[in-house]
Amino acid sequence: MSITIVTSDNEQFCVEKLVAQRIALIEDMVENAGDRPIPLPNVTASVLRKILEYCEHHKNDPLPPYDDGSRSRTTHISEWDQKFITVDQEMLFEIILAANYLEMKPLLYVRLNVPRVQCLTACNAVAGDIGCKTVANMIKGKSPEEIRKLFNIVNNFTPEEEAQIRKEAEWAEDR
Amino acid sequence: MEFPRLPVELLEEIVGYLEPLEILAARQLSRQFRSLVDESTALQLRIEAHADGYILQRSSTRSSGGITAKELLDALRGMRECSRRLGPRQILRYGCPFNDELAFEICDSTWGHTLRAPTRSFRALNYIHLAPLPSQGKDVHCFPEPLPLPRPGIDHSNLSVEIIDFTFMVGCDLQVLLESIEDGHARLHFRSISSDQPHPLAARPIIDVPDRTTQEHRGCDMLLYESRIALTYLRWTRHAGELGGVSVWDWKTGENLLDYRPAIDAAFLPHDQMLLLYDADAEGPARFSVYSFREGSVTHVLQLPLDRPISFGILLTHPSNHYGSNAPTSVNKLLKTDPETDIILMELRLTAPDSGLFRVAISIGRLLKACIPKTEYELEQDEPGTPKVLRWRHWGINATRWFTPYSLMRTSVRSTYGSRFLAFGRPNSFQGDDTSLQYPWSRDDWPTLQGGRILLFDFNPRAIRRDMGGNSIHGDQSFVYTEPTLWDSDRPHTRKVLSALPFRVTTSPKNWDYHHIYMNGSTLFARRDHYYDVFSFLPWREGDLELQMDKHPLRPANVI
Repeated sequence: MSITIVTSDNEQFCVEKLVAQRIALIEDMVENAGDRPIPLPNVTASVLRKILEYCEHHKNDPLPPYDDGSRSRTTHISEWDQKFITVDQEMLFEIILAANYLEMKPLLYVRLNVPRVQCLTACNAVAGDIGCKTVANMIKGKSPEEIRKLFNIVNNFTPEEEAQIRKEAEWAEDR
Repeated sequence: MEFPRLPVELLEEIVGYLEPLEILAARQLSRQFRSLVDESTALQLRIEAHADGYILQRSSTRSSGGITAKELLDALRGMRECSRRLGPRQILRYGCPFNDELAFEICDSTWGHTLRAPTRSFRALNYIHLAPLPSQGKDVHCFPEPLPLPRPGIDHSNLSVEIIDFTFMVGCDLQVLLESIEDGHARLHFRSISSDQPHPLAARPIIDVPDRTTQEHRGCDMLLYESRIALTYLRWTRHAGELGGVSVWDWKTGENLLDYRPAIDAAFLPHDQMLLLYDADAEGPARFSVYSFREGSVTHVLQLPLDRPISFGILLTHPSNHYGSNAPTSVNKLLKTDPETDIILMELRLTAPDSGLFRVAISIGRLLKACIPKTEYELEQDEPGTPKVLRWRHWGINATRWFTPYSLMRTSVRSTYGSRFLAFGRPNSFQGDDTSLQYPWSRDDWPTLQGGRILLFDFNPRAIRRDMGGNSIHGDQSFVYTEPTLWDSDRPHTRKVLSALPFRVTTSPKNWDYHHIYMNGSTLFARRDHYYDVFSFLPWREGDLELQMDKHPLRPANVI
């Protein structure tokens, strides 16, 4: 059985139900939509294609356990996921944003705290997770100036503020 | 799409994956990121824990084990404020009858104690819970939540074995009971605190310990650190004029990691290492060694600037010490002290007569750094199996601070945990000048009275640098020492010693009229005659019990 999804740029995707169910938002909408296509006005075709690629790959993964707050803070990412997330910055942030919109975030399950949602959690959580971890890995070990350059962030501190904030961080350095 | 345009919760999630130092770098990016970090409880908690010398083990945006990130952050900040003023509030008084002693251990803000007649074993243990439990995981249910503090925890009025000593670790629901059988035989029992049943994680719930005399077993200390337990025999043997020893096991596997080995005292170090105060031949200048459990041998010998062997020594403060076990555990622990900031406080006497008493604080982080070979030449010099000897001048100056023997009062140095120790002092000592660190006060300067001002020494370099960095409060009672001081004991067999480990000392505004003080985490214990007063550094919480002297009278424990 398959489901039709329409993206913001009006592209239609025909998706196997098993794969679509990995996305919490779609799972919720399928019940109400009946046979009608499911609109995703916040997701473009190129981004949805990536996310479906992820869901397809992970469709048979066992569902990860309910997030009990003990989720490891390690920033390790598996090999396939690493390859999957090797995209340009623009796409990376689009994926993170779309995954968040599609309720792929573990935070959500905690907020809802409903067993049914627990079952859906799993795989989808990771799409957002590996995105965020990837960005964190890009930041790690860099100086503020290098991070600004990397992400095109404008330094809008006054020189005094900048001196102050740098001073506030000095204590933490290991020396 | 650009990075800074992501919604706040996603930015917070991303920054939450960073180490505290990196979070502070992200804070410097722009005004947007500064607000992000400053307004996020979870990110603030990571920074504050780092500053206070803790390692935060888990993601803490959510509740874990009954304590939220917000509560934990409030507790850290409250503790810091209260310890700056050294004005904790009293929460409990506990009576102790004449002739009996209170045997106790403190771990993770839980006070485990029993009454015992000095020469007898006992069967009763009582655990009282004094502060919210940051180390408790959700799968351990020793104590029901939520109740006002202090509150009773577990009361074992009839333990399954008759014991002479105990220790415990709340984070993994473990109590270790030392049972003395007869003729010097003794056994360790690893049991659950909550059920008094054999601990589910211990492969061998009962371990036979090496035969010593019953008196020695009675005087030994148990040290818990992660999955290791050490028995150190020192107090009695010292009077008997012979050295003590140490044995180490892994309590989970039941494996004997270190066979009984002569040692004056011992302390666990991070990275599977242990500090042994004593070296085999005990001739020549004073020194101690670092033993590696991975190598199964002593890897480093560190020399001290004293020209005679050590006759007596005790490690007063270290990560898993006797009064104030804040030992790291890999199970269910949200906060553990960061070994980078931890210290060991060593008290020594030499074999030479009249050489006096030495007290030196050693930074564990700097000590271990000195053991790492820095150049390829040094690396080549390393021979596996042969201990590397580090000369004093190559490791000691920046890793230690030496105290004038008599600047702290008699029977006064009391351990705390992590980077801190407590002492009784006089009102005029450590007031920002060097006299308390160099001037050899004579024995006559020691007041005969007990009590005095409480001095809280903190060696956590991050907290010190942060305070010196600017906007924080310094008060009249707090002084920071960052300059090297020249210590000179004026006794034979010692040299002049330069030491430069930075520390802060805070003096209590009033005298404390107690015999002994101990501190663990947020709680301070003070002993006088036949009662213990317990104080908390945590801010008042809605629902906490007022001090009610009669509500917590002595429980008639089953002394056998």
